[in-house]
Amino acid sequence: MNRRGVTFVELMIVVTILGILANVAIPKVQDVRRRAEAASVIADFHAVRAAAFDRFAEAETFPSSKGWGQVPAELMASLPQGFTFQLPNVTYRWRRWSLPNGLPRRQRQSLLLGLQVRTDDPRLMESIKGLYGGPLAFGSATQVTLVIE
Amino acid sequence: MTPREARKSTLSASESPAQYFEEILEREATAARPRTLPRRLSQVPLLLTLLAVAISLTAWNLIGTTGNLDSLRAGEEEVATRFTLYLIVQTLELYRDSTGTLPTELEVLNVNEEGVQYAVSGNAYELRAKVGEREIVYRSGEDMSELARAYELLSRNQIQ
Repeated sequence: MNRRGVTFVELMIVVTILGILANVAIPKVQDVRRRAEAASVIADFHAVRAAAFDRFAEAETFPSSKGWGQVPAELMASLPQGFTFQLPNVTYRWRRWSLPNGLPRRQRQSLLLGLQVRTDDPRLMESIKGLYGGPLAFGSATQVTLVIE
Repeated sequence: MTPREARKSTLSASESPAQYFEEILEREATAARPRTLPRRLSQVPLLLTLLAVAISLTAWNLIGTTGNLDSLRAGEEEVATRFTLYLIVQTLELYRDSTGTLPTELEVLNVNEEGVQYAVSGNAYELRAKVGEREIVYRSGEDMSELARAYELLSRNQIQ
């Protein structure tokens, strides 16, 4: 009769190898998920940007700044149905800054438009900044203003 | 020589069947001893090495998740705050030019920002923002060039 089974040490080796594999795989999965979320935020940014320019084409004005999570009523018609500024991990805020003195070296620019993005995940924020291809992004580790141009 | 002939010759070489079986048992025991002992011994260092790798990876992942991001330098946040103050000042000045007064709070103009404190006294105002240990203060009438410079730094992405 074969009495040889699995020893405790052998079992521990298998468990440790599984632990190593999990340690390698989990961050990769999280990274992929984070990039997908960042890509979704950038898609939302472009949707808001398009809606703002639609609004400008109609009324020759951009909506004024709103609070966190509030979709400007003027943009509703041009945004996809069910579009929200309040997502599980991310919140948006529409910004319109009036610049009577313009910007340095751009004195004629009287407005600065932007979509402010807030998240508690600094790594997601880094991914968002990395994917944003616009002229200017500024903010902190948890919120950033993506300038619309 | 067939296995049966080999067994016969081994048996004939032994003095009795009991001795023959004893020899076989002894040979088996000798054969088994050197095989199992080193294998068990080599499993322990292997387990210890794997455990060390697993613990190191776990620690690395935990540090990577909770640690500071290199790309987000403290300077970047300070410059961004200065630029935000620049935008708030312009909005306040525009409001003062059009109404002749200053708002009691930034929420009126929807330019309230986290971490930015606004205080108004008559026709003067003060903005304070704290970035880490440093505090940035702007008082109405002061030169805005330092705040404006933040825009150039941000747009060039040349933050020192």
